[in-house]
Amino acid sequence: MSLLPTDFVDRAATLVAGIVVAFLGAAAAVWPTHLVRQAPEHISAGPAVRATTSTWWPWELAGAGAILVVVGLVWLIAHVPVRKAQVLRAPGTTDPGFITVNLDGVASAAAAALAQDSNVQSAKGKAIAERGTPTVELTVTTAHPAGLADVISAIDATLADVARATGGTSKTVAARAVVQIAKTKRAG
Amino acid sequence: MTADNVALPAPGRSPVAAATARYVAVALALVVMGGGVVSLREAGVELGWIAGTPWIGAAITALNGLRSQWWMMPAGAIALLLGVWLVVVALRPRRKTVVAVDTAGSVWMRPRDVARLASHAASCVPGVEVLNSAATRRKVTMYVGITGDESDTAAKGAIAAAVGSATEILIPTPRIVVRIGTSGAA
Repeated sequence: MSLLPTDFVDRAATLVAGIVVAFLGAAAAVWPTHLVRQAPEHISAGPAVRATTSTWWPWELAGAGAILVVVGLVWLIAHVPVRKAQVLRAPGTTDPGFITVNLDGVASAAAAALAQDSNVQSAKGKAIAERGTPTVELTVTTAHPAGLADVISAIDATLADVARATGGTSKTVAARAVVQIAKTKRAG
Repeated sequence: MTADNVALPAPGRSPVAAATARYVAVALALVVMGGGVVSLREAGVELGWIAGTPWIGAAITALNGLRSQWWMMPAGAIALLLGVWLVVVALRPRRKTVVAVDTAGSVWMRPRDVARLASHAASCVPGVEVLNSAATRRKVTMYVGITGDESDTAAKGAIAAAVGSATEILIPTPRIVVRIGTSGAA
């Protein structure tokens, strides 16, 4: 995950909502105490009331409503996780007819290689974009805690293989692994 | 084969949890959509296309002339707290969910796996029965029962040494707390 435009919009919207809600809350909490002399005795929404009786009011509502629905829908859909395939250009190839490397394939191959290790219960690999950097992410589950050191060595070796496979491609490729320990049945 | 003498890829960033602001934003998006639907309904009612009473118009009329009332104080205080929480959520960095493993590559472990590693290490100490273990990114808590003749202090020392040895591959090495004869949350 990275600071995508969606993340920035999410944070900005949350910040604005927070400031507005906090301001309204503070105003509502202080109003009955009459601590602020400039505070009005009552809310005056005359212009808004007059607006509701005008002829264009329904059309304005319809327009604003349609915009809100579209904005809300687009914003909501932006949160649906979509994984773009990380494709890199192989070194030494130029237009036309350049060769590309699908990083998902590299990740899967790395995971498959790790899964061969007797200390590894399972291994998964995927390619993600981490703040714009193509990244191979491996999730390796150790069959038993006693084999952890060997698994970590195997992961290092596999990460080195990933570096060899992706070296010289059009972008710098990062790699990381999360090593997990399989659940064991508790005795007794 | 070790990776000490071979080139490794650029180290991947530490995995982090999704930002809380993301969940808030989904709720806000639903609120925005809800507002739009209510506005469209109101427009339909005003134009006579839908049967019903206007909601937005009624709310504005009710708001007009509203005077301060006692219930606004607790309600306002709650809204103030909610607003401050939203501001904090918007600015807070995403929570790290893993702890680094001291190795050449970018390798990480989740606290729950650290707890499993610690449980295994503690269970290898003679006369110790591991009841439970819990871990955060900086602390491992062991809940153990003593089945041997060793004193509590000696057993605690042995367990802390075993768990410390197993978790010294982590950066930073976690603080180890041993609790004897109790069970806790995993």
